[in-house]
Amino acid sequence: MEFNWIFVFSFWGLTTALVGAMLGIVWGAMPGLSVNMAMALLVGFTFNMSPEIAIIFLIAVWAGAEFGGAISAILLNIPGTPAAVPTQMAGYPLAQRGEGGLAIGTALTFSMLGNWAGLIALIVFVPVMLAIALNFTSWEMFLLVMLGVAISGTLTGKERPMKGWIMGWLGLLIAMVGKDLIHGVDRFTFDIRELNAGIRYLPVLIGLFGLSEALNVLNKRQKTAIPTEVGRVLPPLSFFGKYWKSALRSSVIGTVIGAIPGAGANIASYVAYTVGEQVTKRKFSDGDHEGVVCAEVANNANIGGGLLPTTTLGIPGNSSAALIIASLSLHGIILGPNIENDQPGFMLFLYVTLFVANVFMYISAFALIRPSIYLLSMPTGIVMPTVILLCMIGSFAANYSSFDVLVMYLAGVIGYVLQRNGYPFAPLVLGAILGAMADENLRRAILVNEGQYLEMFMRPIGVVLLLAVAWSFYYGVRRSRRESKRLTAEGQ
Amino acid sequence: MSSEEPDRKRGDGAELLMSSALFLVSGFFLYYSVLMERPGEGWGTAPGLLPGILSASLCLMCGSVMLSSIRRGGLSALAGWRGGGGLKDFLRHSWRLLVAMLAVAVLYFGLLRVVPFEVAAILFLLFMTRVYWPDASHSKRIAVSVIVPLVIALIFQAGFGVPLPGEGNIIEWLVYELRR
Repeated sequence: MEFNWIFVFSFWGLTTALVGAMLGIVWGAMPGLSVNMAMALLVGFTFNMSPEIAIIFLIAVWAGAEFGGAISAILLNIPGTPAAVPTQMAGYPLAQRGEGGLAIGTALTFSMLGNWAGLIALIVFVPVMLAIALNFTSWEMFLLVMLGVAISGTLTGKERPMKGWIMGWLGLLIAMVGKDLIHGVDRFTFDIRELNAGIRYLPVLIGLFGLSEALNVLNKRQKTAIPTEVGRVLPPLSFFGKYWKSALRSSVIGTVIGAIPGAGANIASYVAYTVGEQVTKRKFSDGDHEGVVCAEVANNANIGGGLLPTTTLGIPGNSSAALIIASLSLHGIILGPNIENDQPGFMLFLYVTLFVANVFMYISAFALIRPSIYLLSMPTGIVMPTVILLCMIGSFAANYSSFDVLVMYLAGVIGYVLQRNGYPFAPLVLGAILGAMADENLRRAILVNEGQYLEMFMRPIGVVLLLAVAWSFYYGVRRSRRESKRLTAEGQ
Repeated sequence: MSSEEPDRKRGDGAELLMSSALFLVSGFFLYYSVLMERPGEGWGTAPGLLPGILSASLCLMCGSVMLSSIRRGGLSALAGWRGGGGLKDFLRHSWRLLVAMLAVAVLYFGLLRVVPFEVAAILFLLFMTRVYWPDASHSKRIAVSVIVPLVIALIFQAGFGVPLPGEGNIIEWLVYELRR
């Protein structure tokens, strides 16, 4: 199908962008509701929408929610989203000094700049990536998937990258369930009819990001905090002169990290915050607008960065991008190197959507900052059970399947237990989405190159990817050994 | 012994349990990958090729995590948990979680098979607000428990045409009757 960028400026396009941005801001502001949860639940919402409306809606929600987390982070000292933790560290002390509104205004203005940076990176690098990606053979596509899952595991496993790889491999195995694409053999179905079509990844995503998070919040006894006063919101023009270097540096960090599969906004904002402290030689946690700038620019630049491998390679740059893929696949749209041939006009449509979503995020945030404070004090005893109901609807709606609801429930419960034990979700999500692609490409590569395996291994792109995979494991093992030695020494 | 020591040991015990479970899962996948039908010659394009490679390496990784937690005293932590009233402790600290898991299971696999979505959701919210919003008055809880499911059903069913699970939907029936 063909996409027309003019549609974004139609009545429905603009209304959808505005509603999406507002919903995202409110959602992101509420503690316990993450960006990924918002996207996971709303994918089901987009089932009956046209693909254009679905993309506009999800992108607007994403942009809104990435900023929204800053509101409760600064005013309540509770980050609305995991990516807002550095914003909380730098912003809450400002709120205690009566500069809460200014801190939020700074977060909002520089979030918008971060979105611009991500959009510019997308426009500049998409043609480059597409040109490279179209030269990839099946063997290189397989290695790319393995690289994505390996890097995601290395980065998100923190000091125990092995746990990240375990999750990535589990995700790949989940994708193997069902009928094999080449020979039609049933794999791990055990004569269960519902498993013949495989385990759909959308209920898994909803379970991991929706249900398990809801269980996590319900398990804690969270007291309703009283928000501080807001005061002046619009930042002075002098802030642009003061903080432009930090904004530029953080936008690069956010975009680059966004482009790394599995590395999301929380890593981007934290790295930008830490680098900012090192460069300025100041501790932002005493209350510093520059800290807010670093964190917020990075976590919004992450959107454009995350969409770069998502659109050009079909490999999600982060979990939210994975949910974009999930939503588009419901409409039969497959992202990847052939995107412009299969869906003409898609990329221009996406750029314009990001532009409009960014503008509406900025405008609607000013209107929503004060009203959303009242929502911040809504009890989790109402919010989380409602989220659980939405999880159920979201997983049922796509295929009218109670089996998908069962998958969602199991993913949520098992996911909660895994996360409590330090196993990250992002590699599992990546693996579940990309597993079928990895399997198909590996076996196609073997078929096509039968008797010429040496040539397959000697292709320059393949060699680079193979070395990158090896380096990712080496780096992770080294980090893991250091951590193991430290833990053993502590035990002694 | 520092105050963090018991927490760390509990963590090692939990890690041993978790990695053992994952080791069994990966062993299971490996076993069935090897037994899988192989149309064509050899393993080159066999359906069990990639699952076999993945599950074998997964076994190694889980085994490594298991060994690491055993070296740090995971086995003794588990034994201590069993003998030292660990289960009572766990139930005392995690009852909110277990109640939520059970309530969700009853909703998804019990209520929705016998009553319409709206009724199931109202009953679910009545229970959940009772447990997780104990400070609220009865009237507030009842109002929220009734209004939220009806609004959700209206938005999804009537607004977006998204099907809802359950043994029938009241809003869908109402919309149908009004349109007739």
